[in-house]
Amino acid sequence: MHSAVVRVQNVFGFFTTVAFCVAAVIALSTFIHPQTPSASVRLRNVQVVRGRPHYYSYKKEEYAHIKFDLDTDLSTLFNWNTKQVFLYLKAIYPSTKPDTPPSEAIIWDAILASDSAPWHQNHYIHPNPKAKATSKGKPKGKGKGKSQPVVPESPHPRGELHLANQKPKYQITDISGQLQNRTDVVLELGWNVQPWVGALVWANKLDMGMWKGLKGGMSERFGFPEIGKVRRGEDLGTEKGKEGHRLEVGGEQPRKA
Amino acid sequence: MNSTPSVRRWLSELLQIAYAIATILMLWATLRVVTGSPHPILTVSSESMEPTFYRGDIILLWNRQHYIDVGDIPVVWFPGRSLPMVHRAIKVIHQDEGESDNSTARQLILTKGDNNDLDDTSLYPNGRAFVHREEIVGLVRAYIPYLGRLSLVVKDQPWILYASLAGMLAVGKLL
Repeated sequence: MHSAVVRVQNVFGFFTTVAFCVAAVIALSTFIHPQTPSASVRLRNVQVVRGRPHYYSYKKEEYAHIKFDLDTDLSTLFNWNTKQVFLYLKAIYPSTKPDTPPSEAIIWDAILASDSAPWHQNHYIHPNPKAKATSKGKPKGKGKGKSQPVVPESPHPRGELHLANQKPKYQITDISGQLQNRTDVVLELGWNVQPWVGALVWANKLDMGMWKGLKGGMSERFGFPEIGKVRRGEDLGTEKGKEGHRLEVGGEQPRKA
Repeated sequence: MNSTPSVRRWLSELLQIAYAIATILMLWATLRVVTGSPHPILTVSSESMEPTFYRGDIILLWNRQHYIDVGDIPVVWFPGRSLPMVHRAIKVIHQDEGESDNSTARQLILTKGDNNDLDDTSLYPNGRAFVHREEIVGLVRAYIPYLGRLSLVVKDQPWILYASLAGMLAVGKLL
């Protein structure tokens, strides 16, 4: 009853119980932190073009390129248990057949990291029009060893975004291959708060206790226009996300079909 | 204790072990029923969702939500694959199957890892472009960081599991 093994077992069991209780308290503390998110989304420009938007598109299809303005204040979403907020803007458009639920597609996303999260290259860096065009992250000189990447500062406090005429990250296609002249399309902001431990929560429209629902966050209804010719000089490229710079060595490789 | 025959003592020890195993199995089965998912607890084993999930995080799944929204994190397990994919749904399309019966409208889901540049179409089998709802074994609703690191080590070197099991039995017999 007093052997070393039993003592180790008791200590380990007590540690596990305490760790579990601490984790549960931290996870539950998220829900008593007040939140007041607000956002305003505006459509800037939408164009429907015929082309090959995806790397696997084997035939031309119609795709929509949506540029938008976004002003949002999500600083209250960050509390001590927040690791990051995955922010996304989705386009909701009705399907061609009646009685079928509308289709949704994310056109832009960003990973907003809290201060406590270790740096990762996928973290969203708010574009700063005033920043000098310095060489981003390249180590100066021929110093050996890793140098910390130069992370430009966001001009706004954490959680606040002000984007104008933002290019999307993803083009919208439909499974029918046809997108032009659709009506009742709307852009909606959503997010996924990732805690350090506990439940993941998504955007709430309604008030839940200390959490106020999102104010705003939906754009006006608009329609996809007819296919337009791409004007010369018109940039229909997408915004490349930070994850595009990840080396694929050792990661998931696209499998040949 | 020395008066009881050794066979009976040995059998009662076996019963204790059987109780413990049966309790764990029933708790696991209950969890599967409550969440509706065949694998309610999983360990993240790829880096494709960094910085959201790192290798070794434990994710808890819930499978009673029928409609997938974009932004959700479904765990996609194609039949025949040894590992599931934990990625984010970035597109959901409802395709009408029948003529006027909307209950057969099928959800088509496109996923992409947060750390991947491209969407997952190249990872789906047989040239498919979308995932169906029945291939999703659950949506990630909660997670615990770092706790699954040991299980990843054991997955790569299974002899550790056998050795520690043998060790535990030996220690239990000696005490």
